[in-house]
Amino acid sequence: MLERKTMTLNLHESEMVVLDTLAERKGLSKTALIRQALRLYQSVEERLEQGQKFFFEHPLSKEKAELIVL
Amino acid sequence: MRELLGHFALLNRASGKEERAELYSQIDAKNLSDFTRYWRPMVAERLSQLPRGATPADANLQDWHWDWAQKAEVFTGRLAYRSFALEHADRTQGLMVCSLVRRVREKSRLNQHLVYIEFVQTAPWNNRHYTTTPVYKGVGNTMVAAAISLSLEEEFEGRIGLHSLPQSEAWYREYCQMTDLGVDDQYQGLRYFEMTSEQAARFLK
Repeated sequence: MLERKTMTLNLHESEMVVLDTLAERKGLSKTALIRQALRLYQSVEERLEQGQKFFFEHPLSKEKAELIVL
Repeated sequence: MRELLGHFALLNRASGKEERAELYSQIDAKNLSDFTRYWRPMVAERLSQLPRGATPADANLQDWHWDWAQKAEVFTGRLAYRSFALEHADRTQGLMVCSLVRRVREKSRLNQHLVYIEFVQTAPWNNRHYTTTPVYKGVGNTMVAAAISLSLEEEFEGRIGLHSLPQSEAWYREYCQMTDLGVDDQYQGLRYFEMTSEQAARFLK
């Protein structure tokens, strides 16, 4: 297992509710969920920095909706 | 940072004895150097032996063009990827890169996270498609076990997935007992396989 470092994370109540809900839904601990979120954030950020756009596609209509990342 | 994950047994086909190989958590410069110095010349030699008009795919050499140096440029430094190198006898015996941001397609766990094997390859001297006298057996088995272990470590319950080259489909289906989810038209027409947590537990036994 790769070496890990510990940090304290301060969240608002509403953020904690979302974290709890997502962790429950994905079957992950809060730590695992945040690590997963960080991976995704880095992937999205790099592509946006390269000038790419981030889309979701409807499975049937193939309609694309651009995700606006602020 | 590169880390020794453990020792795994490879079967020396000539002696019939098991030998201890080291599995590392990251592909490094030595592995890429081995790829260039030892893997590539052997692949090139095998390609030169193909009958006139035959394609590499005809001889089940569908991974002949994989360039690990190029792949390393893509995955190095990105949290979404994790790479592995299996070393023994001062040579890189196998390489693998996994993605951690793909989702399950199998309907019982649809959309849950899994470890997706982007690329896995054994050294050409271990591959019967490249040589009539392969040296070590067990690289693929070790790499699949490593992917399952990563999945467990990341709390993905051992789930893994991959697109298989045609030459390897039977191995994933029959030896690994993975679920064949059919041809993926969105991915070069390759068949897509997944291993559930239950299948992963059976594989590790």
